Amino acid sequence: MWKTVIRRLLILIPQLVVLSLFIFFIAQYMPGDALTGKSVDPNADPQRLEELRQQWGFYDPWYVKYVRWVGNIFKGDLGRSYTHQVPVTQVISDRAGNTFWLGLMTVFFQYLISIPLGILSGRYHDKIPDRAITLYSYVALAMPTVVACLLSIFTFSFGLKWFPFGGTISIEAYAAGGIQAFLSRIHHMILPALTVALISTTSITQFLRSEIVDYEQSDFVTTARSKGVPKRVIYSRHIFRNSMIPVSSFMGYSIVGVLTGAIFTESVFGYPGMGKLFIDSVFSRDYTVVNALIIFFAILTVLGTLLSDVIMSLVDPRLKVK
Amino acid sequence: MLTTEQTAAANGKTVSKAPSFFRVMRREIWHDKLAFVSLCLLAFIVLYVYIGALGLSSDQVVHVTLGDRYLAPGAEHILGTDEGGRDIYNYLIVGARNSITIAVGITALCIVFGTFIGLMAGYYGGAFDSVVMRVIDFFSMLPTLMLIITVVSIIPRYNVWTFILVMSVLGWMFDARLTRAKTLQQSSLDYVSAAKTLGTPNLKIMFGQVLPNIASIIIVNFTLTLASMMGVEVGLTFLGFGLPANVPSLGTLLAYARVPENLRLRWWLWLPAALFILVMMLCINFVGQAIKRAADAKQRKI
Repeated sequence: MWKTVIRRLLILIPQLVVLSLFIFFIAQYMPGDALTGKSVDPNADPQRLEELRQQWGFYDPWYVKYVRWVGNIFKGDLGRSYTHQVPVTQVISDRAGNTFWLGLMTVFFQYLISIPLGILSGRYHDKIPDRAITLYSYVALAMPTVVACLLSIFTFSFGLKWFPFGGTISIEAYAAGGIQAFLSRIHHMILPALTVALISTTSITQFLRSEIVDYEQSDFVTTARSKGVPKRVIYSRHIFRNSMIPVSSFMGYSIVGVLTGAIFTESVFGYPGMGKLFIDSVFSRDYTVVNALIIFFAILTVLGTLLSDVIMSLVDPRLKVK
Repeated sequence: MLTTEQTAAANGKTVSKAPSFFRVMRREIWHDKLAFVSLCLLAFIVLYVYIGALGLSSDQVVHVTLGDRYLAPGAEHILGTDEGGRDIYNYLIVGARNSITIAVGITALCIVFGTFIGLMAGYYGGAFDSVVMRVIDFFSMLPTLMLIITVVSIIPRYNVWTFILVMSVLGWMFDARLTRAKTLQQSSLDYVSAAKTLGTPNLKIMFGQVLPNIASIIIVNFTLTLASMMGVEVGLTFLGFGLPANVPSLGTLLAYARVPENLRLRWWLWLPAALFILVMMLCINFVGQAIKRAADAKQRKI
């Protein structure tokens, strides 16, 4: 299996080359450069700027620029952010932590909600609990992220005032530090995480349900039943244990989904993570940050999918990674 | 050659003909009350919005009356007004019409292109198939949303058509992959070999024989793609990277909520649009599920 993992990672390389070319050419059409940003002194001598442009290779042919750009990436230099005036790596790493913790909490809630729902739905399939859960799944599936986020902010932040709106930490808690700061951070994350988790349970719940329904008709369950094993034990020992295993392989897809959704979630909630950074950077035309984020997310997407495939083949050797 | 029915009739037996997909579909929707109600509601909404929008010109909708700033819902303005005194109800009707039309347009483009590519790849196989699959693999690795946003932000003279084009270019892969898988399945069946042996031209086999056999899957896919495209368009417009400002959509109305004051106090600006989207998406999904059951006998209840 490790051979296939390595092969998949090797396929990633040409894909990244094509993607980087793609982004590079988009970048060529982006208006402005590092010397037209608002941070440059408006009184700067145009002739001096022109000299600097020549010195920095602004007028080099595209392939020279591309090779230089890629070479710098390998040296860990993604360029400087025009608006923040600090290296891009620093801008991103400042925000990556926020997105990571929020994503972790979202995936945690996702499993916490969807596994019991899936078990209930499969255990009592075609009965009232299952119908109710299926209806909920449909509503969750139909709800666009933005709409869900707006409704939950309106209800729980503004209406009921249970959760704060915007940011990662309250000013008082930040000043106090310690455990209070930690709790404030958690408090700020719960609502976005819970909202996204609630509308993204459908695939895991429905998968678990159909697994359980399938196992009920399998031979080993019939055998157990004919030996007189109580129904409760059949479900807990025989069925749930077997059907839970493949669910773990949803992890990779969940991570990818949550990260992609971060663009919407973080923008609506005003949560300063990478998703919001991306939108802000596009608005301020800070394209070094935009390009770096796109490549970063592309790598994450591939790794997430690979993670799912690897888990899948680990828990179920019948499915070979191709 | 006699058909199965004729043989059976000759033997004095009665064999019922396999019901067509559309008959099964009608039956599924009719028996599933939820899907039936959804379909009726959907038809009603679409008609209402399109007929309602006929009486409204775009200028009339975006006309600014500063005296009517931020009016709460009342007799004159059923859903109140926004900061420019524009009537939210009119905005909602025109926005909904634009959202629906554009989502249908994008979906149709994706399906037509994806189906065409998928059919070719699945039917011809070989080198062409490998190339297409590599391209699809490459596209599915892309962070699509981010690319759409980036491309939208740099296109000069950006309008509705460019938006539809960008969305379609980055959205057809899933449909192509699905069609390819199904075509591959069909191509190994006897009827395709028979047609090939009889010398039927490839294009005729593809579009005259394979396509009708996978049509049900494509229709199911259409409804699901439609729902997701509507969601994406609304989300992008909300962020400011969807439809241009002069073409209101449901996302434009939602975008009022980006101002916390509006979100908290002036619910009439965005809540109707939010609920409208929710109802639309629910209806499309319910109908889609019923069609899915009609297309796949395994999912039907006896």
